[in-house]
Amino acid sequence: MLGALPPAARKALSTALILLDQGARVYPPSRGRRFARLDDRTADAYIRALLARRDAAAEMVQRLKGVVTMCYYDLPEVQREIGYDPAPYIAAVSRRRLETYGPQIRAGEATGGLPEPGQP
Amino acid sequence: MSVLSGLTSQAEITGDLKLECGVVVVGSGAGGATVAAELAEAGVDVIVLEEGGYHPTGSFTAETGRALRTLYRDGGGGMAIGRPSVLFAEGRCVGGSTVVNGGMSWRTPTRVLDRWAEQEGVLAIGEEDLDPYFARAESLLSVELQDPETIGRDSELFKAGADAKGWNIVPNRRNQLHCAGTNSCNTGCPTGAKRSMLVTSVPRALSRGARLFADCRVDRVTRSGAAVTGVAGHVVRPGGRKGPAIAVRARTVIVAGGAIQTPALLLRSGLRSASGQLGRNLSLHPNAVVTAFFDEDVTGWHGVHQAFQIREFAADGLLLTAVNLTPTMLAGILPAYGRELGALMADYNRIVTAGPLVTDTGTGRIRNVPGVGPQVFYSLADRDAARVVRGVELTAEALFAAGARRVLLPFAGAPEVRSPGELRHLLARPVPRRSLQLYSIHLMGTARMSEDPRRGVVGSFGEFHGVPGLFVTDASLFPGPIGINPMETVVALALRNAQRLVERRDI
Repeated sequence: MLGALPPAARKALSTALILLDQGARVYPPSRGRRFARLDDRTADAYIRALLARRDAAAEMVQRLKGVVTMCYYDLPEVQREIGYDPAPYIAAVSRRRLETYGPQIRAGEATGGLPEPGQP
Repeated sequence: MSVLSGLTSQAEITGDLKLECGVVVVGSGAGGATVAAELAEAGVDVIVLEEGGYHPTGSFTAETGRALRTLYRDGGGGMAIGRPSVLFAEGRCVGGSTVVNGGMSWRTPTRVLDRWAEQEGVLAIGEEDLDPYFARAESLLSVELQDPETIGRDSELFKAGADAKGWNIVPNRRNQLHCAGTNSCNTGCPTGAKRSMLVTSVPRALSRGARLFADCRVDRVTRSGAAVTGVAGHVVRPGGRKGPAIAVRARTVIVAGGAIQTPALLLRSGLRSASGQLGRNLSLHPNAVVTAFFDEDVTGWHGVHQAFQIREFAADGLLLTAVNLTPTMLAGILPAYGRELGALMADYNRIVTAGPLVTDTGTGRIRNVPGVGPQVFYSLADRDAARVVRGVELTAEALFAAGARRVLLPFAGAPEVRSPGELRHLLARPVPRRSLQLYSIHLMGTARMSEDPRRGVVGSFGEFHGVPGLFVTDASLFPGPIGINPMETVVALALRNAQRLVERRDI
């Protein structure tokens, strides 16, 4: 997904991740450690402290969180865990559509897309 | 994988291309594909250049990541910079944004058309003038009400809430041919039931001899003196790498890249408008998402993307809708992270997402930033910020009336709300505008129509003031926001402007 971002956005994302990681060193409870080395509780407190600022840093963390969680919840196994498995449903309702409205669909497709029969 | 005759993709282009035609169209979305099909049917030699790739219906699945990578510009992550910033999405593929929109098809409100006529002197824009074009658009795109068996529980709950409040709620008219209700509108309709340009005007244009080049980005409009001579650009290789050059000579150039890309292209081509409005006057119908949790199993992804619109507050510039979001999209916007987010997402199938869409009075602008490209700046007006908050409140009220147990509001740092009383208490204090989390999928107004060259970029039929042969036909044309989904307006204007071009017989 990240590959779809334009080069400037990818660069900004990398910079934001570095800032987030290294910025933890000046967060007193981290005792000089970078974000990647923090225990869960301190890491969580660090993120909450950034979000509470409601400034550009908070917005940066908010955007980063959006990107990371989108990537995570795009994984099919994660989606199945929360009860989202659309492929079988799509197959079933697509079948129902064709069984119920087949002739009307074929007629409609002829008028809306390719030229109608008999026209030059 | 089916390949349309007349369509060429990047893999088939191995060297520089020099082409000639009567009309070159930039973009294959609602405006570009429609005008291309109409002109091709009239016997005009048409070439369409589309920056995005060709992705046929058979390639569409419900995978959000795939769709964001292949069908959207910049992975759907556009951002209008401001306080607050507004995230927006643009389609970039053959068929343009019609491939990924929700398929809502509404005629332009009469009051909007009247305003365009009165304030901008736009000719032949009255309801009676446009009726035939709307009718033709609706016929071409199979605009109908949804079949009842495809309406999902999330939409039913939303309607129940509106009914309980006694509010006016209307069923959506959508460009669909017996939509199956797969809820895949934003990832590409896997059945072809949504009658996007991909399955309507694009094949219609190609069947009448138009040529379409996918993966071809137009860098500039070329001119000789005042008149246009065509366009120049390049092939886009996988990963965005620059491929061979492409040049098209044509006496008529029609730009239909949408309200961000159209002014960006015209500006980097050195074009300027005496009105000063090229790239300005951006409206974007800011919207926000309210997330409601119910006790019952909703499974909102079973059913059509959006079935109803609350019109009760249309006069106040507010439209309220419920739209199911995939887990990928929902996780990206929920105001939580870590275990807290995990707990919310565990209830995914008990969630209804809904929200207001605001007819905005503030405006933005597009600037080409060296090394970055088109950058959007938007200033949310105080009045619009207040309307967003009011729209969020009304949406939450409807969801509580439908039985929601708790609601998350799109305000950074806002607590969960468990009753209408808590909602009123919370909103009794001002909501900081910076905390608003806003989105947009309706971008309009950056090459506005006006008969007066001092007020508008283009004339009544889309011709750029002072540049013969250069036309715009997309939502950039709108002099202002229209308050509803814009696709049918774009298509109707494209039909009207194409007819005008054919009648002039100078193409």
